[in-house]
Formats: sequence, structure tokens, C-alpha cells
Amino acid sequence: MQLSYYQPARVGQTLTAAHAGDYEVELDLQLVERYVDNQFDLNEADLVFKINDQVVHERRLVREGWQSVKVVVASPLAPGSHDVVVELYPRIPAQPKVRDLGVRINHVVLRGPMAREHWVTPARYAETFPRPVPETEAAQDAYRRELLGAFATKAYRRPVAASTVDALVDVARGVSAQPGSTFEQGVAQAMVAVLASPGFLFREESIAGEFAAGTIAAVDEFALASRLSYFLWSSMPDDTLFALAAAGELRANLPAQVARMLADPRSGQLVENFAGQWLQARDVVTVPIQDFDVHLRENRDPELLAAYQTFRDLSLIPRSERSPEQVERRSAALEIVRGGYRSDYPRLSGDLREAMQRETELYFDHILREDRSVIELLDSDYTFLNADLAEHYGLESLGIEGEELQKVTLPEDSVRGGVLTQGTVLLVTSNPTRTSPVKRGVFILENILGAPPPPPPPNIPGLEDAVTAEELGKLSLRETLALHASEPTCASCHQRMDPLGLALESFNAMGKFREEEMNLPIETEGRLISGESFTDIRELKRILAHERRDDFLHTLVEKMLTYALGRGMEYYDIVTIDQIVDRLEANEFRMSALIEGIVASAPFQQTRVVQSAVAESLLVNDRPSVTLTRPPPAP
Amino acid sequence: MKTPADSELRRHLQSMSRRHFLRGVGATLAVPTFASLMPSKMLAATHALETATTATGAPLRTAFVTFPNGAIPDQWWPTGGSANFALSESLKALEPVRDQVQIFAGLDHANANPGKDGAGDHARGNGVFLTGVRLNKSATDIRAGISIDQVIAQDIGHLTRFPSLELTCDERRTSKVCDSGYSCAYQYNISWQDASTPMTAERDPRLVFERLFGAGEHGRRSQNAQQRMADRRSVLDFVMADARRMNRQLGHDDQEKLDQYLTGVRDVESRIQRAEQFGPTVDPAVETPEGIPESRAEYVRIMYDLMLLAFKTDSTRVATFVLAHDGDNRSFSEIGINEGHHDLSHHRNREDRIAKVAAIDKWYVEQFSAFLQRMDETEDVDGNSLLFNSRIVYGSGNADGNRHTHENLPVLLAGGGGGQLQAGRFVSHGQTPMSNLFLTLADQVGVQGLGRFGDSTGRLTNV
Repeated sequence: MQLSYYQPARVGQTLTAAHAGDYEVELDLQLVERYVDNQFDLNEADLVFKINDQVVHERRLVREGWQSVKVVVASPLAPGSHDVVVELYPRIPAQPKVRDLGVRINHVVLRGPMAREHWVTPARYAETFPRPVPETEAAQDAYRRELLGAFATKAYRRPVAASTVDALVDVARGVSAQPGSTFEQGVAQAMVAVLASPGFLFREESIAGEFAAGTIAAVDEFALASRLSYFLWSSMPDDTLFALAAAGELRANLPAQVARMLADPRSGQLVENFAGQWLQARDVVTVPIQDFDVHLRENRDPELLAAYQTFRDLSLIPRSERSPEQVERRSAALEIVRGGYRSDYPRLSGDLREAMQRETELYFDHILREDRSVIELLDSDYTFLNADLAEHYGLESLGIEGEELQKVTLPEDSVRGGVLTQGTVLLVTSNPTRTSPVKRGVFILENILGAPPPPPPPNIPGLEDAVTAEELGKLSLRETLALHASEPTCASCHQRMDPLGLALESFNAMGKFREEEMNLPIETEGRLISGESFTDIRELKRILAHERRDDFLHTLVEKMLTYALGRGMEYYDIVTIDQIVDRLEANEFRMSALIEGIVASAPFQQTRVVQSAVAESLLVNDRPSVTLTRPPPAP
Repeated sequence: MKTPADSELRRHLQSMSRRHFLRGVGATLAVPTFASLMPSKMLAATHALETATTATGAPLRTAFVTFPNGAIPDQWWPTGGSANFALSESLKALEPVRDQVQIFAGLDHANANPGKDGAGDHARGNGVFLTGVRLNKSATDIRAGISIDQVIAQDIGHLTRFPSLELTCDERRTSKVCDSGYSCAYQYNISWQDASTPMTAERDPRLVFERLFGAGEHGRRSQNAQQRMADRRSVLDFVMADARRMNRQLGHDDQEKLDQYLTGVRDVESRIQRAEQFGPTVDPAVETPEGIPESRAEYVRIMYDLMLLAFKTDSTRVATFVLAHDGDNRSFSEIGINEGHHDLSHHRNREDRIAKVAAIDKWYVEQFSAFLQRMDETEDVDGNSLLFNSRIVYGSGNADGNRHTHENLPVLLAGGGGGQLQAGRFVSHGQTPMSNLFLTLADQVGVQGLGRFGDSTGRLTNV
């Protein structure tokens, strides 16, 4: 709940005390404001905190940024209801209300009674300690062994050696024996030891049976359970997986388990992390895009641009040296620039960026859950939109309402459909003020066609440096690029990148559809180095989904296999990739064929034997990334 | 000394999916906060023993204190000559200790200027202040440089229970983008262990106190601290045993991975060894602070007092204190200023605003002067005052907050440096890198072989 500094207010709540005694009442507040540059808001307000009409705390509020304030009041309370009230009194005389000063009440908490006889067992105590602590030392040790053995098994994701449990019991007993310490504190400290040990932080993988060093052998069932759960859930195996592994029946039940795991909401992690990394969908929230500059490129306003320049030039002259005429010109220019910023141009809000991220995630999720063809990742007649995103894409005619994204059938011949025309990909492949056909071309080569171009030779000037600012202002991006790629050394790569990127020129750096830039029409036609020609993005998508389908399938398999294994692809993985592509082709390109193919593959099932029968391998839980990195889960 | 592998490992650990969890574990196992102790340093101890000490055998302390948003130049700089200067309005409060303070003019941080990096003068003002290097402008790819306090701590830190102490009265915010594309790590940290590892400062006085002296009531703190160390030792022993068990069964590549992990564990071990080596903690006969006080003045005072206590008990000889990060926009309602400090600092030459910024500058100096006076009243082991045996740099990474300049920074050097400093002067150094002062301070404490630091061009001789 938020109160304004400018309005008297009284809000309250009734708290119930079960017993008579000393209580603590905690009031958690946050001061809020809307930032306005160089404008002060000197309003003040008096906050009064009352319990049962008694003033227990008073404070004067001024503008204090976003400071958080915690008020803790000790108060004896009788059993029954108690009125807790916050009153706010604006101070007179009022000052200009510039920054919408306010105070947010996060919560009021009643804590107590504090006397020891009222202490209760924490609500979740029994989750860790299912029984009361036994009396005798021997029984306590048995209880420790039971608790810590189960905990370590879970943490290590495999059975632990008796000697490990012994050591943990020793740690727990030692800490409990300290003066003032408790049984629970000892167990807690031993748990800390487990969580700090390599057995938890790394994934130990054993193999089943005896094999000579250097040979390839199947990983044991516990290791397989972990591989599976980190691939599909980005988390540890659940009880079902663990029980199957313990019984030695996981391998025999893999398809059923994969199906179960994909149906579980935890598989949302696969969507979020894989789409987030492969398509960089999560980067859309932070990629720097200046909406005003993007807008200006398509809506040239000579007066505004001139004012911009004037303001910048005159600002370079020290204030004391500016003539009155310059001072006047500078403020006039500033007024025009400000007017531009205040004008109605398409804004790229945080909400819109988030909607873009969700669009890509829901799209991938849909293909996964409905077991659709993976080719739909490239081209389809549907996508997921909310009202704002639909408007942003110029699809107001669909009449979508609300903030919630929903599946939408696109108009016939729409340029949208497929990940390449989603805001995520279009934004993360742009520069802050304009599109980058080069970046977009590279993106398609790397992530769709699996043919990444070599890095540019050193000392190559950037696009802006290759031509003068004046030239850059006059040429379309296509013409500028042509200039850039006219050098033979550049051309060999740019011939591959540029046509792909230029096909996406009909989308600006904010992902909006457009037909011209800098008063010049956008031209999207081109020809791939492999010979296929197209006139626009619709045709390019069809070429990628048909003529170049095999390239795309290989790339997708490679990306997801990398994600599943937590390592980069090696030459010997080619056979596996081919096999999974074959499997996709034999199964109408369904997503399930891709995932099942990976799970069934040799690199997912096996490992290289390091020493002898007990060889173990280490993998960091968070697989070292090669082309894909795994993020931490949400806190 | 930190090996590169340490910070690499830390980055690695931080990137792991369990990082939130690890952070919780770190609180108990202790994410390395202090530079580790290397055997080579132990061997060098005799040299350092002589050099981290004053001529009369007392410990020589070094501290760096920063205040935000620069100062109003007209009201900062004294008038008059080197010795008979008249203190300006902002510095008036230094009168009782003027014989123990040097006011330096002409010290610059060229690397805090925009150069090709554009906006972000507050992030740079803060991040460059003790490092003297150009910061990599990025929210994620953090590259600064080691800060001078850490250069000193890595050389003499083994002499005390804690190599260094990092304090702040600021909000904690280190993970997002702060100023025009700079990581918040730059804007909130002045102390850097290496180019990519800031030394995160502690903001809760209670936690500072408990780390220095142990938790609980007076009389039981040493035991509690010992207890805490014993608990950590038991965790450590288990972890090492598990690592040995695992290591026997690993291939070469995997052994390397485990080894990286163990490097971090050894860091914790060295801290435990250090605690064992120094025996029970000192237990000062004062109350444990109760957390962050309501009043700003009280908050700042208590942090200064903790620094004093740490110096007095020789718990550490190196400290940094961020009064607030550069760009700080808090109001000072305690002295009747309801506008934000940073908002005001862009005063556009309006008299009323200038007066308010000057009042804030003055307020900060008053708190600093009160601390110096308490340092001056505290007797050290050699009979001199604690202040006499210290070198305390007080300054801001911005000179004129209105224009975001980084030349002629407002800088004070308090203390007698155990007799090495010519205190009680107003000295102009022309146009000299601030880093030159840092080189001299490192020399005086006995750091050997430091040829350059940051953008230094030589030593600052007239100090």
C-alpha cells in the first residue's frame, strides 16, 4: 500500500495477540519517488504510528531517494485484537509537487510473545527433524546418522560411503558438545560441510562394471539420472528418478521417464534456458536500444537534428564565455530537443521487452508441449502476443487485449511467424541506434545455418569509421554496406552475411515493421551464397525451412546436444548428430524425436573410463559452456 | 598475494547454478574476504616487521576515506601560505587538528575523465579513486585494477589478524548497472583485491564488530570467536577429506577442476590458520553496536569508531571507508537539507544550491575531524597518539561535482605517519597524478619493489 506525502491518510490493520506478554511490532516502509532531473520536491510529511490509539513512533519524512525504513516497537499486549494504525500528515505550506513523493507500507508484523515459555517449534522443523531429539548419546548418534546419511545422499545425488557419514556424525557431535550449542546446531553444521564439499558442488559419475582405462562405458544409473534431470529440469533428480536408479531400472524406462519429466512444470527450465541461450531471448531485456534515435532514423526531422547539433556545439563553449546570443540560441535549441523527446514516438518500455522475451519462450514451449515440428521454429502462421506487442508489431487489427500473452493466428502473408521475426532476435542483433545487417546475418549463419563466418581481420574500421558522417547520413544502410564490402578481403564473408541481414531490414532496431528509413525505401531482396534468391523475409524463411532445412536441423541438434552434454561438439560427435537428424526426419521433425534422440545417444549415455572399475568423472553441475551457457535458476 | 586462479575460481563459482546457495554457505565457510597468506610472505616477515612499523616500534596504520560528489571549490581551498594558511569554510572544523593534517591541492585522476568512455563520471570517480586505472566500461566485464590499500594489505597484512578492513555507510548494491553503463561494482567499491575482484565493504556496525572481536557480551567474545573458528575447522576438515577421496579417482582434466576448487578452500584454511596463529581475539570493554543507527551522524561516527578500535587493538593496519558512493543522492534532513546531495551538486551556479552543497561538504569534514580528534586522544603503544602513527587519506573522486571534473581533487592527508609526514601544511602539487601520493604511502609503509602504480609518473616527495 502506498501513501502520498501530499494527502492526509490513515490506514490500519487489526492484529491478534494470542497471549498476554511482550511483543514486537515491526513496520516495514519504503520511501518512493519519481525521479525528475534537477527538479526538487521539498514536501514533507509526518508519519505517526499508533498501537491502540497510543502513539508509539513518529517521524518526519522528506525526500530520501528509495530508502527503506524499518520501525520496530516493543509493546506489552493483552490477549485479543489490537489496532495498528499509520497516519500521514502533509506538512504545511505545501511545496511544488514534482516527484510524487510517497511512502510504501510493505508490511506490519506482530512478533511474540517473546517470553521463553511461548517459544514454538519453527513451522518447518519437522521437515528436517522428523522426531524429537533422543536422550541418550548412542540414540542421538543413530539419529544423526539417519539424518545426515539421507541428506548427503540427496546432496551427492548418489549413495554415500559409510566413512563419509561417519565423518559427518563426528562433525555434528563435536559442534553439539560445545557449551551453549544444541543437537540441531551440530546437524546444521554438518549439513554446511556437505554443501561446501566437492561431492555436492561437482557431479561425480561412476560407471557400472569393470572396464579398461580409455574404453567407453555406460555411466551408472545415478549418473544417468543426474544427466537427465539437469538437461530437462536444470535441477537435481527427484525421488522417482532416484528410486529407479537405485533399483537399476532407469535405463530400461527412459522413454517413459522423459515423457514424465517433460510433462512436469520443471521442464519450463529447458524452455527458458535453452531458448534464452540459443536465441539469446533473455538478453532482450537489457540490450541497449535507444528508442528515440531509432525513431529519428525513420522520421528525419531536419529542424530537430539541427537543434541537436547546435545544442551540442554551444555546450562545448564554457558557460562564462558564451555570448548572450549564444546563450539564447542554446536554450532555443534545447527547447526543440526537449520537444522531440516529449513527442509521441514509439517507446521501448520494460514491459514491452519482457513481452518479447515471453513471446519467444511461449513459442518454444508450445512446440515442445504440443510436440510440433521443429521447422515451425523458422516459419509458422501463429505466434504469442499481448495488446502492447500486437500494436508494436502493427497487428492491431487482430484486436488482442490485455497484458497476458496469447496464441494468435497471424493474418495470411504476415511477415511475422518464426523466431527470426520476433522482437527478441531482432533487438539482440541491433546496435543501440540502428539495425545491424551484419550482426543479423552472423546470427542466422551461426544459429540457424550452422556456418559461422570467421572473425573479421584485425584493424577493420567499423561501419561508421569507413565512411564520413556526412556520407553515412545520406546513404541507406544497404548502400553503406555495399561500400564496406567492396573490398575483396571483406567481400568474401560479407557476401554470405549481408544478404541474410538485409532481408531483415524491414524490421527496425526495435523490431517494428517499416518500409523506409531515412526517407529511402527498404530493399530486402537478395541471394544466398548457395544460389537461392528471395525478395523479402517471407521468402527467405521459406528457403531456410525447405532448401536449407538440413542445415537448420543439424544446427539445432548441435545446439541442443551441446546444452544437454555441457560441452562443445567434437569431430567424433558428427555421427551422433547425423543419427538424431535422421530420427527427426523419420518422425515428422517432432520435438520429442529431438529430445529422445539426445537422451538415447551414445555421448549422453556413456563416458570415457579414466582408470579402472571405480573410475569417476567430474562435471561441474553447471556445465562449462561452449556455445551455450547455463544460467542460475531464479532465486 | 592472490594468484589469478583465485579470482578465476571465484568467477567460476559465481557463475554456477548453485550460486545463490553458495552465497549462503559462504557466510559460514567464509567467501574469501581477505588476501590469503602465502608462505613466501611468511618468510619475508622479518623485513615487513621492520617496515610496517614506526621508528618507535608502534604499528603504522593506513586508511582511505571517501566522500561523494566532490566539493564546492571556492569554499574548500584554504588561503594563505603553506604553514600559516587560513582554513576555509568547508574545512573549518579541522582547526583543532590542523597541525596533524595536510591539505593537498593539484592532485588529479586523469583516468576518471571521460576520454572515449563518455558519461559515467560518478562510477569512475569512485572506481578510479584508489586504483588510478581506466575502468572497462561495462556492466558485466569488470576490469579495474588493484587498489593501493590492497597493495599495502597484501604486503603487510600477515602481521595482523585481518589484512584489511572495508567499511561503508552506503546501501548495498553491486550487481546491476549503475552509472551510464558501468557496473555497480565500480560505483560502490573503492577497494579492489585484483582487477576483477572488489573487496565488498561491510555496512552493519554490529557485523563489523563481531568479525573483529567475536559475537556476544564482553567477556565471552574471545571464546565465541574461537568457537566459530573451530566450527569452521570441522567443516574444512570434512571438505578436504572428501576432496582427497575424490581426487584419487579422477582423470587429469577433472583433477584440474578439483584443484581450482581447492585453491578457494585453501584460502579459507589460511584464514583459519591465521586466526589460530594470532590466538584469542582482543575483547574490548565496550558494548556491541546494535546495527545501523537511525541518525546519519551517529552511523558515520560509529563506523569511524570501529576503525579506531581496529587500529588501536592492532587487528588490522589497513582500512577503507566509503562514506557514500560517488553520485549519492541522499538528503541531509539532519541539517535541514531535504534535496538530494547529487541533485544539488549540479547547482548550475545558483547560490542557494551552492550553499547547501557546501553545508554537506562541511558536515562530512566535521565528522572526519571528530574522528581525528578521537584518534589524537587515543594513546598508542609507544606513547604517541594513534593519529600520529597513522596516515589517513580523505578525499573525493570528483573535484567539482557540478562539472564532473577530476583535476585538483579535494584531498586531505591526516596523521603523522609515525613521524614520516610533515603534517600541518597546505601544499599544492601543481598537476600531479594522485597515484604518485599512493606510491609514496606504499614506500613509507615498506612495500618493496613497487615501481609504478595506476597512472603514476613518480613519487610525491613533498608530503
